[in-house]
Amino acid sequence: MKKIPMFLTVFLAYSVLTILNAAPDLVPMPKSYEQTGGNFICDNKTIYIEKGNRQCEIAADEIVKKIKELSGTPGEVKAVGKTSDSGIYILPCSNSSAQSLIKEFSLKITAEDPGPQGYIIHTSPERLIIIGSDNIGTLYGAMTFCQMLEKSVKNGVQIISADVYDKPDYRYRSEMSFDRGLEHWATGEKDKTEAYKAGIDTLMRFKVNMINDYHTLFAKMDIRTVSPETKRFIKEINQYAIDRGIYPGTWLNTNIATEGVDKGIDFENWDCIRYRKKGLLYCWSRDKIAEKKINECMELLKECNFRFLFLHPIDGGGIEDPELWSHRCKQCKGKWKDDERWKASIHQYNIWADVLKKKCPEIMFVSPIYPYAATYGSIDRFPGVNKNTWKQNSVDYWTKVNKGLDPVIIPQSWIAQRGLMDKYRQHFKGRSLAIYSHSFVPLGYFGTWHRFNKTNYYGNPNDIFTLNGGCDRYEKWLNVICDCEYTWNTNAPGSEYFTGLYYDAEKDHTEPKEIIDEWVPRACRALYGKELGEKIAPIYQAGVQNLYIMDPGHGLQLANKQRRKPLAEVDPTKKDEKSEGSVAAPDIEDTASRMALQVKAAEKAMKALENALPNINSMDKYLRKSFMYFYKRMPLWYMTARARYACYVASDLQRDGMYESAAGVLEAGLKSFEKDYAHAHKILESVKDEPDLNKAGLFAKRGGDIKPAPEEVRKMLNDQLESSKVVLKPRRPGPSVMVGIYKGLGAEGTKAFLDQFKNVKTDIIDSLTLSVLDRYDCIFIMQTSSVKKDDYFFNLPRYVNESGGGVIFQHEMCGFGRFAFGQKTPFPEISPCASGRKDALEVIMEKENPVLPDMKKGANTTHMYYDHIIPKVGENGFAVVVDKDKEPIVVAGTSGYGKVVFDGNVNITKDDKESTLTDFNAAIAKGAVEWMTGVKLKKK
Amino acid sequence: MRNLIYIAAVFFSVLIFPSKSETAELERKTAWKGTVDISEKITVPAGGILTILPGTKVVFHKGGEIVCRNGTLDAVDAEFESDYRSENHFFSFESSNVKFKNCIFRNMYPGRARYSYDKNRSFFYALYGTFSMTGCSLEKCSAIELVWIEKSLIENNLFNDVYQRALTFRICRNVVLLRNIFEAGNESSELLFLNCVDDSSVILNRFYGNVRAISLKDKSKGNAVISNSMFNSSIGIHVQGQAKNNLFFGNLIFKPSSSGLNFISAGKNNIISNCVVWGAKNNGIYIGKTNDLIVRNSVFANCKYGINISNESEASVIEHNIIWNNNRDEKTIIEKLRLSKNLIEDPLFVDPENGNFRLQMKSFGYNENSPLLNAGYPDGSSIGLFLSFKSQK
Repeated sequence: MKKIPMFLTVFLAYSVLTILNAAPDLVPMPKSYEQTGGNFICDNKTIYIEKGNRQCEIAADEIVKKIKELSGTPGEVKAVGKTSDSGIYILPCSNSSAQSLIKEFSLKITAEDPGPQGYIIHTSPERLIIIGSDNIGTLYGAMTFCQMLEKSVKNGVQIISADVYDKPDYRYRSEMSFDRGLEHWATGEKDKTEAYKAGIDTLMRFKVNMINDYHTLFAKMDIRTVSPETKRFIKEINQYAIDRGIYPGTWLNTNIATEGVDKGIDFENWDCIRYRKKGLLYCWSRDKIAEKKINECMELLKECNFRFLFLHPIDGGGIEDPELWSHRCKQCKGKWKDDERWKASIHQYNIWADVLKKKCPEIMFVSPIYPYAATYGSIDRFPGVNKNTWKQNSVDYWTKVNKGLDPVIIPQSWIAQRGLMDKYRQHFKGRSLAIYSHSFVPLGYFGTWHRFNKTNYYGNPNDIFTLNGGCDRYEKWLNVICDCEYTWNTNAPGSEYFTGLYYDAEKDHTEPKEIIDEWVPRACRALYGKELGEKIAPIYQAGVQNLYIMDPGHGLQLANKQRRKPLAEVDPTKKDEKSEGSVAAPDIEDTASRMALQVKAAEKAMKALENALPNINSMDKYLRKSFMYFYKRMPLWYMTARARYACYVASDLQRDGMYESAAGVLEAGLKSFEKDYAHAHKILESVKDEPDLNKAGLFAKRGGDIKPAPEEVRKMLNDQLESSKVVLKPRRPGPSVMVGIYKGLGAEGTKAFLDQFKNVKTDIIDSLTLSVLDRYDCIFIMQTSSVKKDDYFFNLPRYVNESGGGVIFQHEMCGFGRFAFGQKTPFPEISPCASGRKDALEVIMEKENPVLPDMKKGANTTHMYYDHIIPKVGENGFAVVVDKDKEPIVVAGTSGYGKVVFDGNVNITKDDKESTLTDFNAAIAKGAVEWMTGVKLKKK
Repeated sequence: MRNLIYIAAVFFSVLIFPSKSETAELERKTAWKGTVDISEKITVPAGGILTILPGTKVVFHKGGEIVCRNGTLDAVDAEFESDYRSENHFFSFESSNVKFKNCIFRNMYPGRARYSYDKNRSFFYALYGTFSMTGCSLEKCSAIELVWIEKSLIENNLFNDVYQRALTFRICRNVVLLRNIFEAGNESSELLFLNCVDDSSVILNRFYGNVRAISLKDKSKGNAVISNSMFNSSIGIHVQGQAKNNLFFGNLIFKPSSSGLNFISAGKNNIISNCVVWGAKNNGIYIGKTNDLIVRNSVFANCKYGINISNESEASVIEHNIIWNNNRDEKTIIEKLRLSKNLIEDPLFVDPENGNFRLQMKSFGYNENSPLLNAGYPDGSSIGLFLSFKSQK
């Protein structure tokens, strides 16, 4: 039979799955899946495993668990004997019973084919056979089988009979963070270990087999700082992971001494490379010190059950001075010339390799050999650099290092375009390669950049592909699983070659449809269960960009960095201006329409969450946390997106000069905000006892992830509304505040007082016509009977309401009985009239207010005259100060665009004389003018 | 013998002038009260909080400075002053949170600059972190300099007798400058300097004094400069060097000694709307090597040149403005402007010489309506400071 090319098998497998009815949700997709007709009933079927085989035991446990979850009845688990009995057989191909089955059914499986981690599944009427090329392959076969299990009304738990052939493209793939990934499921759990194990189990089920990122548990990225308790914990979890085919790895530096760890070393006067802030010392030639550190580290790596060491050299210097080589000490200079860094590297690395091989040969050794980007192999990247320098420090260096480096060492490079990686590999002939996928911060919690994973795949399954960027801070699962899909199957539908722009924030959260529309629902069903997964999928399909919503400026700055300098995050020298790549795409502009899309996306996701909520009791408690992460936050993201959208629309209107419309949009935005906030609050209250992935909680000042908090979003809307309204105001003081004092009792004293201020000009006026009033920023109406009714009740309100002026009414002008027009005022909503008169001097600040901001609550003083009028407080007014009986002496309020003060005082002395204002009279005159005009008065 | 004397001198100098610790690190949580004299470098430790309690007076003597990295400074109702001219900043912050409320700063300024590039040294410097200053008064102080700050609020402060510069922003975003008063002093060079600043708001501030009021430079974009008033500045608003997509709305520039608005090699898509330049000794607005500028609804009156456009500027939209009574406006330019929907007539302000740029309206008792009423863009809006001015029917 003609062999089908590998890339076609995956395509066909996908096609088969999509065509056939009730196809199972297999993630990652096997290389070949072929239904053979009929069903295999799994209830009460004995499970036969190899005795003492840990992976077979785990596999059997998983199958039993899954059958129970589906309300089925699992059969017994037994050691395999004869192979003719009906049952489920889970065996590595090295097992003799497996060999019998292989012979009986002419199954095509050996240790080499499919090879490590590979497996086959064969369904016959009475026997279901899972055979792996090795133990992990056997385990993975069982994981695929678990995904095939389904509940049938007629048959109980069954699978659709099928034959499967499978193996990974990358044997070491994807990656979950230990400390910032698995740790989140442990938040709030009494038994942290169980939570981590649950995470490991989930990784296993999806065939993700790398864990990294422990170094927050070790200070200064030095494993020797690990506490005994943490060491025990890591050891246990790592062993648990290894049993499940997962490779725990950690980063160390090539530094030979660490401050606080290594004694007897003069850190202050170190003559070779020193990273002062991190307390790390480097040197290529002090072998004794180096060997001590290396030995100690290797012992710990072994004790903690690590399987990967990622060793980082000095990270600096760029193409011109890689690893800061020119700063090496005299001793290093004595041993190696300027162009012999390669010798020093070989020397250094081989010490590590020698110790590793002696103490822990099971650990794989990877290092991003500097410069650790295949892109450095092209001189086009360095237009400003001398060609010889470039050659010496990149291509020649790599070739020379490769010749002397111990064979166990695997070089690591950032992902690169195909052509560049072709050349890079040539320099490291004969070695596997570790690809460090792009490091970037995405704007949303799920994206499709994993489709580029095939770019640097050359068919060597011993190559390593680690996921390093692109995950949400807290919820990483679907990205990790997707990354595994595209490393297990580098040609999975939707896969692409990376050609320059790794992360496109405009597309990668909603395209390509092969991932968004097909893979995401399948993965959600596989992760959450059929029914619930279907409901949850839209959360990931919606394209919510939560980081962008919460901080659009910062988010787009990150996204545009990628577009301007696509290799910004993968350039060993981020600040190297000489290593410019060409611009990959124009900047994304932040616009109202972009934010509108996020409003819709968050709304769609919110609906999906509500739809899924009734089913959450079917989730285990850890997946439930992941669900709750979204359930709690999505209403807040929606609320913030809507508020920002209103601000953006308002800004656009303002730019077009439509300030009134802008103010209208913002007012509507505020109303919507209050509604959205109430809804979000209700949601949060309803799930307040549900543990969260973020141990600090959503709103904590330190560590909270909802920033801005809702109050700040409200403030943002209010601030923008205020600035919209500000420009609608029809009055603005000039270089001096113009004050008109309508002649009456105390006019001279008021003028004398205000003339003390250098930015005030005062006139005593005798007309209240509009054109006169209009010349002044505020007007004092002193007590007088010489006033016309029309001027008073018509012009003054127009002056205040329409032109934004300010008016201070004094004493009887507050609508006191003796007043010319009786008990009424032109601004009854602020103060309808005065309720009486009182002989009293004391003035008390009952409540702080903007008219007298310098007067504190409870402060008291006296006014000049022996009595004051008591203005009433209208529905839009407030008492500025009160007397000892708590009756108001001054009432103020806003009316239209302007402001009004009813001052019950009169600006004359006790003996009825005009005099420059003092005491409270001075304070209220100054305060009122400042409040009304917004200008602080400055004394001469 | 000579060597012995030398050694003795060194020995005795150590005895007589014992070496002094040059830095002092505070406790993680420190609160200051009373009078605090500083004559050395005081360091707020990483993660530390320095609270300066109400009523505290901090006096910087020679050698005194406060540095902080990854910490917090919170000062309310406190006073700061210095009795010496520092070569360094008095405050140096990095990745820290700083808050000043109702504080007074006096005489915080450097010695005379040795070099011209050094002439705008700040007394306060912050890199990264957040910054908030409200209700403060600064008297004869040099600049507060903020670099790479993501968010800052500066509101209701008084900058009096500014030394060199009041505020410097470099590569900042989300700056809110609201309702501040800036008064130039004898040593002022300019008041507000924004370099590579994005998405910020400068609103309702008042500037006094014969120096440049606002400079917006390099790749500053997306900023809103709204409703500010500049009195007797040299240049009201100066924009240069790729600054683009900025909005200048409702600004009043009153009798500048040079130009009201200066756009020199500025970026594209800046909008000037509803601004008034009155009595500029030189240009109302100068547009030099700047393309795609929009100028509308604005007034340039009683200047030497109303609108002055260099030959290298293209594609600017200048419409719905009033250009009036400028000494040197040539007839050809006037005609050209009239054709593109600008008005050449007396704006009929209420009291322009006293800074009152409200529009005369019959409904307010004037003889005529100002021609600015309802003459702006979009339809129905008015030219001048008050966009929504409408005539009463």
